[in-house]
Amino acid sequence: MTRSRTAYLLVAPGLLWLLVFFVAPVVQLASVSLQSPFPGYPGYYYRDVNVGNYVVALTQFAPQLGRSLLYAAIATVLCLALAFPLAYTMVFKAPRWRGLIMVLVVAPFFTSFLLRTIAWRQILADEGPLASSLRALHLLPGGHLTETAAAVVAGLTYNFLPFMVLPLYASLERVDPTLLEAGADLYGSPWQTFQRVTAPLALPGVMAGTLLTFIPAAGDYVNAELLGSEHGTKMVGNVIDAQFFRVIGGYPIAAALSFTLMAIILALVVVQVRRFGTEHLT
Amino acid sequence: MRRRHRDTSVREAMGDLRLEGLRRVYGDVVAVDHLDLTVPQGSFFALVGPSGCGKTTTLRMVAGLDRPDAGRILVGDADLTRTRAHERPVNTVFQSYALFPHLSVLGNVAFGPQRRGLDRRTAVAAARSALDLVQLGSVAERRPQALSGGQQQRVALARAIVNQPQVLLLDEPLGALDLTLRRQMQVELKRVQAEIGLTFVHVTHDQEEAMSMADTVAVMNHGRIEQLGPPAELYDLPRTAFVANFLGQSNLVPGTLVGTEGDLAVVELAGQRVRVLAGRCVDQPDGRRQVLVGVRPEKVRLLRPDDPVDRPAVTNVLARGRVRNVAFSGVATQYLVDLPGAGTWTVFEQNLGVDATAAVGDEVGVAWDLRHTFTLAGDEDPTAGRTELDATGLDATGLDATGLDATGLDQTGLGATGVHGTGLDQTGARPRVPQP
Repeated sequence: MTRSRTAYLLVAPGLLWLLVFFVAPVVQLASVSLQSPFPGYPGYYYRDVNVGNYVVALTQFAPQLGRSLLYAAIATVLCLALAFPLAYTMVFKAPRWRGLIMVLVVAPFFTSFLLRTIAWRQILADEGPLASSLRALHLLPGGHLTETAAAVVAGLTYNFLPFMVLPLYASLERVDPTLLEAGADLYGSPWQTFQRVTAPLALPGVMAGTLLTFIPAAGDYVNAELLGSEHGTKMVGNVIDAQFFRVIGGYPIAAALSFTLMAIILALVVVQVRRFGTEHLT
Repeated sequence: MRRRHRDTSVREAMGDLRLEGLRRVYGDVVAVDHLDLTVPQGSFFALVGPSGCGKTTTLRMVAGLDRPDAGRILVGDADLTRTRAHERPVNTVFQSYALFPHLSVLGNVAFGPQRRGLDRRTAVAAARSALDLVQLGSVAERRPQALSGGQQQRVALARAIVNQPQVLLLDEPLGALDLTLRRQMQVELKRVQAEIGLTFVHVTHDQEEAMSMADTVAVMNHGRIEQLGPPAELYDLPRTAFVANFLGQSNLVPGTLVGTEGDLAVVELAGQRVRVLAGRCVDQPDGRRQVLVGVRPEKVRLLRPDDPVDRPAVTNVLARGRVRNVAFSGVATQYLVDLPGAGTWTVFEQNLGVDATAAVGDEVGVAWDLRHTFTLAGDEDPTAGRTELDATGLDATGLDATGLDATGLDQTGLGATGVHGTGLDQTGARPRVPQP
């Protein structure tokens, strides 16, 4: 009795917070997403069950939705490809450099997300050393790095890399190095040992890192805004932004888009957790 | 860049395990120092010594988990020195077992056969029969975390022997088990070894475990093998003070060689004379007459001043001692006897009589069959290999047959029935060898 009361007291502040700042706004958002514009009064709406907003969201803005998922997926894969060797090295190969690498991974957080992304514009600028050298080597067919899909994905990868490194590091660090020795002792070549022992044991970290990277990346709009072009690289976040702030009467569409994105991500997460589910996590 | 052998013939190597001039240095600590050793095929070999003596480093080098700075490792005629762990016909039972938590017991045991390229069905069949050998067939589908310590230990054993390696390395495999289970597993290990006839190299700091299980025991200290031989021989005739104190206990007293009587050498200590079979005297450079006289505590009996000496021709006697301490331990009693000029002697007497032989403060002598006497080099430290507990005379008993644990503090802290020190880690006084 006392125990359960204590438990309630402990969760109450958190629940209250979520209720006020998450559940209530979500309900509000849901209701906005179904509103219809008030005829004759642009920018005014009335409560309705207008599924048409969702039809618009899914048809008119399908390219942006698809692009968001694609960019986020590519960025997640790239993050994994970069973060795994890094975390692996930190844990097993160069433990003495752990601290330094960790600082390097976390240090960007000390500057604003926005500033860092703007800095990428300089790095990728047409006159910058990177773009010029690539042009000189004829590796840049379009002539530009900025305002390309590659730039957006690069920005996403850069900005979300720490969210992949940290959980991977945490899960690899829990792997007993003796298990890797046992793998080698039991005739596993380094690659086989990695495949059969290290990777499965790091799976919880891969799962966490993938979710922490993919979900915010899919909803991101800063990278596409600052590094992408006006056409062909916009993500769903940019559309929502535009509908909310720049299109008169765009509120219901923006809300419908937000909800659609949420639903898609939720579905993907459920599929992933089912597939690599709890069995591998224990 | 290490040379890589794609040659699988190394895996098929057969024969004795030979270590030649093996050396491993960590920083300025010499962990293993020019080690030469031959382990005959099919034998049960124990490497015993205190923590930090280099025994685990030796084992890891044989396994391929650590690389020697010098020397060679051979199985039969195949040189394994430059091969990698997964290429060697060697398997290890790790101290922590190192079972894969993401695989079932069966998956763990089938891991080796599968990596060696056996198809899944054959590998699983081999794994099942290995599990049957250690009597764990019924838990094949469970996760190792769900098993008890003893069961996990047996899974680790099955996982190694399923590969039928030329050499099976056991790194303190029983260290984490409590006393009763450890005794059972000792019997079990011995049975499995006899049944499959593989070469077992067993590393332990538990001298009793080493002696009760192995055909040959090697005592290691400071990266070198001090002495090697069948357990009974090693116990009967230690050749260094370290071995005399580390394997069981010894009374070691400095004396001077003063002459010979036939095949006996005569040693004077504290004004009294004892005799030693010439064959049991350590060889010393000519002219050196200083020796350590040694005898095991359980070979010695107390002699009251008015007791007659049995068979004086073959008995050594040291008189005029005084009992300092009596510790009763059921089957036996341990006496500490101060002998003026000859230090403090430990005497184990089985409780055969009706009354205790002596009480604290009694004047007694000590007597023993002179054939049990041995001598060691006089310049050795008579306390080498002893623990602090031994040195303070708090030692309870060393009579292994009594069922008292002689292994000292084991890892679980459960087995430490007596305050016996012989197995107690000595690392307190010595820098620990860093594990890479």
